[in-house]
Amino acid sequence: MPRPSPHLHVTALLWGGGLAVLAATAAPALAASPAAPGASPTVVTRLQADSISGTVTDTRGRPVQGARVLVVGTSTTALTDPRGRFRLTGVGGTDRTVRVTAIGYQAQSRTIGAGSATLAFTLSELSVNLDEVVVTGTAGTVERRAVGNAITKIDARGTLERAPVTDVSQLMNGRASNVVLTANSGMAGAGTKVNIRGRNSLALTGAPLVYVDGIRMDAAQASGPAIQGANVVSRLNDINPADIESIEIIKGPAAATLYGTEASNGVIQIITKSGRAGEKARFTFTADQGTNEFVDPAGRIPTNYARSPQGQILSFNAVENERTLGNGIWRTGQFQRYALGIDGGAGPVSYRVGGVLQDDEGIDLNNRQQQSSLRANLQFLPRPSLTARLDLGVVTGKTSFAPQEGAGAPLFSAINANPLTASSPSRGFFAAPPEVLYGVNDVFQLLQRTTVSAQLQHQLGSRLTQRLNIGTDMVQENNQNIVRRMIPEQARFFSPAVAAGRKDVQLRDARTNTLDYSATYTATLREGLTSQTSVGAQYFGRLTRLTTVSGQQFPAPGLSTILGTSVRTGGDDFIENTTIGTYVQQQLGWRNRLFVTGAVRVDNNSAFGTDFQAATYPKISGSWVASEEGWWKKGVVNTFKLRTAYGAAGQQPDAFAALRTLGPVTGPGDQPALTTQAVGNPDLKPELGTELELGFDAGLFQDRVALEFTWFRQDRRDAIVLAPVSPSSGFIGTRFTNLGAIRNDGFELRTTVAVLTGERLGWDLTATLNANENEITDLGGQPPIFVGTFPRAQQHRVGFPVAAFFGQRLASATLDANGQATNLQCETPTGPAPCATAPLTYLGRSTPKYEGAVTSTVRLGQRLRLYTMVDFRQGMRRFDINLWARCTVFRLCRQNYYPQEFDPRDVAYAQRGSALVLTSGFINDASFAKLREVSVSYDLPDALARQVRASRASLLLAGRNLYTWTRWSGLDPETEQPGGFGELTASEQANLPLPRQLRFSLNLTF
Amino acid sequence: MTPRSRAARATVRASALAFFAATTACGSLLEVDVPSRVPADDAIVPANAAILMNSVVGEFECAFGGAVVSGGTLGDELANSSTGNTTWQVDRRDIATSSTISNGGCGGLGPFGALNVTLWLSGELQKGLESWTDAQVTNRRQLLATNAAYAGYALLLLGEQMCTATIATGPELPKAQVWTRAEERFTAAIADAQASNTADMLAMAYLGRARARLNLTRLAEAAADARQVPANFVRNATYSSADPRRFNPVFNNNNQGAGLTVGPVYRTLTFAGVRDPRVPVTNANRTGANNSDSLFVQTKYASFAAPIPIAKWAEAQLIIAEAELAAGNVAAAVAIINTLHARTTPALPPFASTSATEVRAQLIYERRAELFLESQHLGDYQRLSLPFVPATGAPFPFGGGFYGTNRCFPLPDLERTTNPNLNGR
Repeated sequence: MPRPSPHLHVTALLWGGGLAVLAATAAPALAASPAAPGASPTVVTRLQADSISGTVTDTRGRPVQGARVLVVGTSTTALTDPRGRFRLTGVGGTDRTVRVTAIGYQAQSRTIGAGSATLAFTLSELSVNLDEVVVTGTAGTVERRAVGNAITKIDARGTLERAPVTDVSQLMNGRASNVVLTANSGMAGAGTKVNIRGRNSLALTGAPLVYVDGIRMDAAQASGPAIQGANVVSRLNDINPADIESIEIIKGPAAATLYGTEASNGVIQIITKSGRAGEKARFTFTADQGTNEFVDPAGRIPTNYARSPQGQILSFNAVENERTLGNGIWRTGQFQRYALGIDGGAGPVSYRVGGVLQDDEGIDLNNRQQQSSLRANLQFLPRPSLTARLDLGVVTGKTSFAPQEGAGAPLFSAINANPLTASSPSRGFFAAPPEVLYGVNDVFQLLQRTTVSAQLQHQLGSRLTQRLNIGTDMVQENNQNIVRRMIPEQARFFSPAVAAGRKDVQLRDARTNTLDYSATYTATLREGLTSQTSVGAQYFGRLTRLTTVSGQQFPAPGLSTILGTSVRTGGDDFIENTTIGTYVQQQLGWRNRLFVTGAVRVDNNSAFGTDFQAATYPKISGSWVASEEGWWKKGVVNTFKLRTAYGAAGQQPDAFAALRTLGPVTGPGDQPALTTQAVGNPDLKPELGTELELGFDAGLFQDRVALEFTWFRQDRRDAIVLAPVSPSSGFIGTRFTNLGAIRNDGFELRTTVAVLTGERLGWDLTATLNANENEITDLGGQPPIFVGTFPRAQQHRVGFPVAAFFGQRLASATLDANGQATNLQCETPTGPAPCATAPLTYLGRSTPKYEGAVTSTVRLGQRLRLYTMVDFRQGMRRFDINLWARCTVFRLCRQNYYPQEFDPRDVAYAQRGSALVLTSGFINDASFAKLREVSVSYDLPDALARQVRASRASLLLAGRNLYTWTRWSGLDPETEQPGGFGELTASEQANLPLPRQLRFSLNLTF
Repeated sequence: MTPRSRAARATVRASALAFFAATTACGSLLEVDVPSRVPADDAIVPANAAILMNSVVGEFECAFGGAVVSGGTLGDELANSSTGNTTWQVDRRDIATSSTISNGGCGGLGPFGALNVTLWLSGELQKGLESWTDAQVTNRRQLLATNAAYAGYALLLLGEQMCTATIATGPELPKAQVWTRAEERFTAAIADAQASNTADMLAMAYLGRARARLNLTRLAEAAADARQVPANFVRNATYSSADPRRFNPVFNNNNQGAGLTVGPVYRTLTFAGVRDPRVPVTNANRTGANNSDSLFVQTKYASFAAPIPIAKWAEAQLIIAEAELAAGNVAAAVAIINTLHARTTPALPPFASTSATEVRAQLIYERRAELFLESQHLGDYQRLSLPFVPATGAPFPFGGGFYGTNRCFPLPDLERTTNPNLNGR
């Protein structure tokens, strides 16, 4: 039996409990280690007697909060408090290595002898931290140096201290390269769509997988009550940022292979905060107050025109008119949030409990989100080799929405206000005055969400680490959409069907179950050559129960229950989807600077067609820390890592897409009947995404400048196309078919510069620039596929980007004496031609070609920080449906009445655009740059903090969405209400713009 | 071996075993429930014959209601008062073949898809009924008659509303061939109805075949079939207020939804200065859903559950009258017109004329009034080359553009690109 080594250099990190990781640089057995499993009771008693405490500061003497301190070779770990203090208990042994890691700092280790000790660590700030532990899906520790792909890690704790962040989407926006977040609406409680590295699917969701502390969560991007046909809630935002330690984003198939089917759009790992072992209870309290404001509505809501019966041209602006009358259409909403956290630990147990109350009033009068959440974790180390962790998250709340987009919305009614009805009871509004619209609609969601997970991590000797994650995420939504029966003063504005009222209730009960076992065996094959072999098996189950109940026609005002309606219908559905997969991964490391990793994953899924067996996803990657080679001259470039990765991952089809089915309906005599439902496709298989990425991480000028560059190319094969079914087949609609292919390539460039690092003045700059090219390379011979709200405007076509815009573009036109546009010549590939025969031409992409952000943090002294973020998206177009409808349908635009003032082409678009062919006048450049975040934060002097018995106090004054630079013709180039075609639609139709948000925060630690 | 190393090995073995068990237990875990969906192969069985029959009738009734609305809008019975651009296209008579109008299912605007759903279900049921035995299916022959009659009507409407049509991804058929297929189905229905002594199906099939033959301009044969229809016969499409899918679509879209208004021609239809009671229309004194067009509502169908006649004796009489007129029997045609006038409440004044031209015009009027919003007018619009109202080229009042020249729904591009018998793959 080999003798135990006296000097063990094993790094064991429990990164927020999400995925515990472990690796070793030297790996003798721990069989006789005093801290090993099976140690005698006497030794255990001794272990509990020793403690190690100390502080962690940066090179300027500032405390580093949240640094992880651990005893190498054991699971004993602690987090530093706001003063940088830590305490480890139950530490035994004689030669113990204590290691400190923190995001943005160089890791540091120190070996000490037996007994209790007090240590002081001073960490160097790092722009390129190759020792940082990252999540890869395996059970072992993987440091950034060994990973062949780009990984984005967001320090949530630090971000919250300086930025006005209300939800997870805001936390990620602008902080992760090539992660594009598109707001569903400017309403409080509305979420975002997330796309990583461009649009990769023709028919399936582009949303990434989301894990919280190692288990999958329901991150539906378009949930909630149907608001004019759209659902704007994102479940991703249920997790309060105050509970998050960090977020890691794995961007594509090259990195996500081990996550298998469903992971080709990338993976978001959310790691929540955890307790501090051996520390007495610490309380943190944060109070936020703020406002949500519709900036300059009179300037953004257009002035409309119409000709009176007497021939006079009238103009009218609904917002200005209401202002004159002393009315308001929107309000400045109030935001309040209170967060309380307790964390600490005693002996082998550590804990954290956090609770948040949030009340967010939107700018629409009946838009309000009231939410409370509780998150708790308990970590228990029954012995140094075994860690058990329990996590519980509970979210409850009510979110009320205003109707958007359609005729029932105040915004739509204001945009399409008519001068001719300005003096009527409607006061010019399209459908009805705002108070009527607000009064008759009651749209809300009640949410109850519980997430429970447990994790066991077992370290067997120094070589084998096992991890078991088990958890369930239970979401219960009660979505209600009520139009009350109207009193005559309200009913006069609506059709009888609408005025009689209706109520739609949808109960969505979704459960996501995770069972994930993985193990990593680490060995030293020979001097300098290490091996890490990982295996894993996972089960993921999604069960969704949908119950829908609708009622129409309330017989009298005041009734609001389904039972109170005259026509009642109901139904329910049950959707189940299961994935089972296994993987094997082998990593070889040479002198801790050259790593090669190969892996293969095999998945099966209940949605695959019966004629398809299983999906196999391979992966290979390599990284080389060249700057640690002996020959490297550390001049300008002091750190340099080259990396490359190739991998595959999948995207599963919808749950029942393979089945040819009939569906139950009500037949004659209200008796049961069947109708054709889905034509099905028994050959259906997952989309296969492959990706090659190359890049480097570099630290320059002694790490004052960090540079990350990644080039990637993704190929999506067997892309699932919603191929239309022949209408004469008897099956209406579309069929999922593996026909398409998409190519996506681009680059990501990120640089962080410590411009000034003085005691009195510091200035950090971070800039990201990301590019994405996107092209459909195959549609299986299918003709162009129409997508989006309006047919033809957005299409999938071979040789063009996904969901690109097409339409006729005018080359020239002339005005006749009556102001009618004539002689319309459209652009064609062979030159101008009469529009009557001209084809549709490519107008542009619907997704940004470039996006990025610039953030600046200026530190004045040690306490005051000024923070700014500007983010931008360039190179995409959107369909301005507001403009199209106003000019071509309702004929309210100025060019309809003063054509001589305009380019004849603009007049032609207004006069001839209604048929949705001559549309390029409304499909406009939606590029923008936004002054997204500005803040001033101040750490109060300790003496002042102590006056309220706090150990630390800080203030934050911040603004969000403060200014937009854009040529977009509509209200906001950014918001995109999910339409009938979900994520592919790129249009604005009375979407509420993002509000300007002001925030004031007080943070106290006791 | 020490206890420590034994424990270690045992743990490794247990882990390996658990891993292996997890990875090999996939099959059963991947089985999922689909309680809300019926695999098609499991549904077409003898035990479901009655439900499938109900399905064919229900699907037809939904498609028929859609045909009443879409045909009425493309014709001049109804006009747009909505903000939906599909309704504009139909009312404006400039239906783009690239649009999805002809692709809608039950409840959609456009007959093509919904009628083909009926035909698919009917075809599957027919195959089943022909292969199953009387012992397996009660009233099998009666079901065959009913199924064939409804399939015949689906084909009849497909021929009347579409400019050309395809059936079950077959070749493109001109109207006449579609009606010929309808005639065949009605002939089969007549045989099965006679064999099973099913009187109402027999009358429905005779009248359906008469209408098919009228479209095929075989008027004498049409009249012969029409004479087999007993007095006061009517076969309705039934609707219900219990389920929006079963709503009477005219009442729903016009009276309740206000997205369609009654066309100008029908707002005050009079005969000899008397308001025709067969076309009850009132001014709602408000605008429709587009806040622009005046809303006129029909009251022929006064509720969500109001039935719509598919076939009725009065229609048979008008077919006979048209055949009599074509045969030169003007007086016989006038007599039928007056029989119908006497049946109205209040009764309309009698019509008198010996001029074949005047009688023809009156027959057109009678069909317009008697069969108002019963899916007949679009066929007449084409068969009798009725003038466009409003005229082609007139500005469309809401949504822009000008009135076009569509008299029928064109075969959609989607069918051409997806049907393997056309250009599709």
